[in-house]
Amino acid sequence: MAVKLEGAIALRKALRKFEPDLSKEVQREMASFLKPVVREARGFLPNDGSIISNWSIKNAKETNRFPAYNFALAKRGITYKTTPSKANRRGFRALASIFNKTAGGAIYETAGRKNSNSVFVRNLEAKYPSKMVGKDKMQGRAMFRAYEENEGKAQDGVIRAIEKAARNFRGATIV
Amino acid sequence: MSNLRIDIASEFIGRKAFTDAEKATNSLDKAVDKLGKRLAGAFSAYKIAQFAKDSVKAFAQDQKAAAVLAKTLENVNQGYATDMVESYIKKTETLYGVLDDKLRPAFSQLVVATGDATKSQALLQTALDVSAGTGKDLESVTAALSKAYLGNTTALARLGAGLSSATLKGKSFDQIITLLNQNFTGQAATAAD
Repeated sequence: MAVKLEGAIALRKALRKFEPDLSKEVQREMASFLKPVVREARGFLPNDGSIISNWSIKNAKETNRFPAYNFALAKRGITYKTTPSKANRRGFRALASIFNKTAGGAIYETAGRKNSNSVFVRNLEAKYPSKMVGKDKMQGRAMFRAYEENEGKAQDGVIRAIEKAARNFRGATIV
Repeated sequence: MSNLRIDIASEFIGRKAFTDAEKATNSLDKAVDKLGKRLAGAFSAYKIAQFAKDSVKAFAQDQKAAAVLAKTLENVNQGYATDMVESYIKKTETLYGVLDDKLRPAFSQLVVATGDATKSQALLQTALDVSAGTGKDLESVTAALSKAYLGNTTALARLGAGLSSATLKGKSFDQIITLLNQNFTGQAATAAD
């Protein structure tokens, strides 16, 4: 669950306008805490040879509606963002996020959340043993697992980076 | 497009009408100043408790992992190297952005296989490079290297590091490591940039 902050978006706008270097620095610092999670998550993905044979792009039929899995794409699909998102329906804007964007990657991530004993999940795990980590909507095999195993260090780091930027900004703008 | 995401931190900006009203009344300085004053209040009681709990848990686990590694070193007669290994792990964590939670078990696994802290350091470096180069997690790479050191190269062939079973068959462990170093050297540093 995301930590809720106040004034961070205004701070970001102010930084970009008055202290662009500091703005870039805070982005870099936030990224340095998110990168390990992304790298770890990518490492949990199976390669094309380790998934159910008919799920790979190579063997998928063109008529298939079920999204095929491709290791390279899935790996590239796990990424991070350190710029604020658009507001969601509840009026929240995310300041930093980690994504698993591809359909294949998302299926690998979440398969078995609802039915951990389905044929697909059983075959998937027989071919490439994996571990579902987390709870409810934060449960998964790659991104959510990496985030869970990170034990809040990424979140802690991002918040500290924002706090530090606020302190530095106040220091830089007080005349 | 599917889009699973984890939001690390977020800000409530309210519905549009509220935002417009706020824009009219709040100046930029006020908003920036607010961050500092209200940051403590921004965490709900639950979040503070959760945050503290997570931090304490992480610290306890770090301590435990360090103790486990120290014991492993002692068991393989490398107890004298405990401080050196801890400092190496801290340095590697900062340098490559890989968490100590991953580095300690990896080192432990290598030192059990090799029985030599210095050799394990060199192997861990190779493992970090291979892990960054292949995209495999450090745990799998270290396990494959430990097994290879003990003569079982099957896992190494499956890593996708460009070493086939045929290539591995005729080579000694040192030759394999030289080959891996040639192929992957500097990958961990590049990935950390």
